[in-house]
Amino acid sequence: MRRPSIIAFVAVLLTAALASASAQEWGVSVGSWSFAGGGPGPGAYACAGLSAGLGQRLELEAFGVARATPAPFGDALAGAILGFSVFGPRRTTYFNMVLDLGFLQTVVEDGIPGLGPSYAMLRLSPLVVGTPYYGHRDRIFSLGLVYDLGSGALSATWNVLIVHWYPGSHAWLPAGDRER
Amino acid sequence: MKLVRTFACAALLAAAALPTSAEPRSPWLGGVLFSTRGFSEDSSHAAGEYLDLGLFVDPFDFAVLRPSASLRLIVPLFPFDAGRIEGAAGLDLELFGLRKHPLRAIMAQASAYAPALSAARSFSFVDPLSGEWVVGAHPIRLRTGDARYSFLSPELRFGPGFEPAGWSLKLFEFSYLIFAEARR
Repeated sequence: MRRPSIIAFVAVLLTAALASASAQEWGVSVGSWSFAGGGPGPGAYACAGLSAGLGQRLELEAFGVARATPAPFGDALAGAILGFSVFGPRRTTYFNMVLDLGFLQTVVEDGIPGLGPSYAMLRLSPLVVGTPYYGHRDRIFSLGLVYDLGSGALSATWNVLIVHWYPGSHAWLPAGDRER
Repeated sequence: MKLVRTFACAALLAAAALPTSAEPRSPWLGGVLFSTRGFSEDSSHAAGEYLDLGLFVDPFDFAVLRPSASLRLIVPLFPFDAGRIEGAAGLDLELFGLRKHPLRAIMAQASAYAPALSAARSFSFVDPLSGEWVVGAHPIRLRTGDARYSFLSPELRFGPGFEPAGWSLKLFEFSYLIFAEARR
């Protein structure tokens, strides 16, 4: 099972690299992450990623997830997500819903670096507030299913909040409102 | 001479703590807060993600050493366990507010870098005397006109007899000012 997971991991990285060539805008994300009933186990996790807009409704994101508690950096995963904006185009729909299809690869397990279990993920972010145009887009209360590609086990994942920041999009602000 | 210097420093601090006359006084009195946190292996809390939901008051418009108080529920959210919900009462002390800070570019509103120290007492609803004392810091904390945003805030925990009881980490804490003072 290790070899297919490496191939999938490399394929995701290549896809992300190719997609970046046609990206509409770049974004940075930070947030919280939890796993229950499987995955790397319960705890408080932090995530951070880089996203690229693809067309009207798609957004590709490469990210990392690291355990913050109870054992900091005891587990870490790298992954990629393709997100589809359900209610309308990303740049113009202020209140949106996003459906994600993702892949996660364990890169640190129990404190030891190396490739571990890999997962496929389907996640729904029911409340997405903001747009790349306004510079911020926040995902609130995302809930997902995680499928362990090795064991076939199904578990749940949860994000209270993921904040996306788009550094290049501040055209909406009057010049006097910003202290630069 | 040393006494004069001490008085001069105290007078400067007191002057800085007074509301600034150049800016309009904030109309806000308090609001709601929420945060997510986890606990260390040697704490009395099970592994998981905990959500804080609470109310806070922030009545003083001081430029330095600005105190505020909060009352909150700490909910084991993921996995959810209603039987382990705790309460906590706490005090925060904002050290200062710095308007020109490196993180201002990520904020849509005008903001100030405003680190803070905190102290709290948590308590179980089943056995209120079994709670813990908590001291913490908010090293990455931003204040805007109507909110406070804090990231990666560590806390040290102590048992009822002040014996060490592990640590906890708030990944983020967002506080929104929504209660205004009554108009005179």
